[in-house]
Amino acid sequence: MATPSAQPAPAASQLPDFNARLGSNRFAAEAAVAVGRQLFSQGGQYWEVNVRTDPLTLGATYQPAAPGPATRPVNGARSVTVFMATESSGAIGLFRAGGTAHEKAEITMVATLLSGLFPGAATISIQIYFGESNRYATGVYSGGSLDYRVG
Amino acid sequence: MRRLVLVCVLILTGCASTNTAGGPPAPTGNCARAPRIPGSAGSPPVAVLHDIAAGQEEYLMGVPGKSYVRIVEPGLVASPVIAGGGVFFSERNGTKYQSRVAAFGQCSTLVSAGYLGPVDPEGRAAVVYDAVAGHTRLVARSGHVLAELSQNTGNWTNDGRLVVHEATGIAVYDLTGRRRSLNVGQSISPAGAQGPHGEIVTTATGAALIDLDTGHLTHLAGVSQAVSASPDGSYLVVMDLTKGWGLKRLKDGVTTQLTTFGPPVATSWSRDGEWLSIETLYGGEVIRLSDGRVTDLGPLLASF
Repeated sequence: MATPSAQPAPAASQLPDFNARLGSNRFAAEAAVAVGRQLFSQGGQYWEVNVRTDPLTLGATYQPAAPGPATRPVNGARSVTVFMATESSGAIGLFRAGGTAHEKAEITMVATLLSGLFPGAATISIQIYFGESNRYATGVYSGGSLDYRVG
Repeated sequence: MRRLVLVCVLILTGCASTNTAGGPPAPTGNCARAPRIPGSAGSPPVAVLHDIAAGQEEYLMGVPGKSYVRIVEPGLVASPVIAGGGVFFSERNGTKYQSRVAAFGQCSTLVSAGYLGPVDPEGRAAVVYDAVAGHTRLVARSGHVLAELSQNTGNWTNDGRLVVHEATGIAVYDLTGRRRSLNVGQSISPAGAQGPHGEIVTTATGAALIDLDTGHLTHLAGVSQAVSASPDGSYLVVMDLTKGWGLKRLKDGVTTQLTTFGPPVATSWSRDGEWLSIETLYGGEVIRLSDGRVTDLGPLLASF
């Protein structure tokens, strides 16, 4: 905020300062965008990504006009859960191309990104959906290794 | 040599002036102001930016890829619009909406009660939808009502005409509110300005361009959808279901594929046509047309 300003109206202050479709708080929402961009860079895969931290809210305040990258590391998350879903046949095809080894590589890439953004998180759980309710696989990243299970 | 531009950006909060008369309003003195944002050679012009990870009320202004200030306005709804040396915006007070404009360095003035619709690129008029009163109007920046409209959508041409859909053509309003129908014998929908006095339209058989002076309709062979056009009309952003988005040069039909950081959804052109902002589902980028240089804006979407 560049200058002191009047207090926001009560109705306005009740609205969250983050996109809840993407995450449980502003840092999580920014992380979801970063994950989406990373997946898209792998041949144009389109995934919807939602990131939830435990606890849901973190103590830090996001400064939107601060210089530097919008996606910033933050402390305070004990664990992170990611839901990534796609209905795109192209995205599914690219994700599954190369079999489980390729899938694990992609999920490891996502988990590595998130572990850098939430350095205090002991585990990062990633649930992969093809469609809204068809869970395809789950990955749990902890201590630098990934436990990845299909089905 | 590119001119250096100094732009004073206004923090909109605290502006008590509600002058709707034609002349410049007199700021009341309690209008908080942001620092000046210097433009620089080789940089895009000042834009309104929104972080897709942010809440609905957070908007920034600044030079894309450089530095930003937050627009602080209690009750701000939807994205402010930069046009004609000012910032147009809607604000909510309870269940009522106001459309206002703040010239750079000035307090905001009331344009009209109601929610802001499309704004003339030069900021001379805007569409305002008033749900409480139940009408949509074409309103001059001064607040003067130019015309009653039957719909709350439309597109502005680069020379300041509002184009709206009609059953078998389009209707065109000029800045005096005068309405003219262009009947082309088929259903067409305005989709964006093209050049000084043209408009992209969608038809049952694909994209077309219509000259608003002559009414002449030109179908674009091989273009299923034209997303936008440069202000001088020489380029089109086109969408191909298999190839993605491309930049098509109209004089020779050469199309250059656009590389984006996410699925693209919208574009915004600078008034001089030198800069193209692309919004994607994962944020935005700005492309300089003269050399193709791309500036990744991360999660920010920029509107010129």
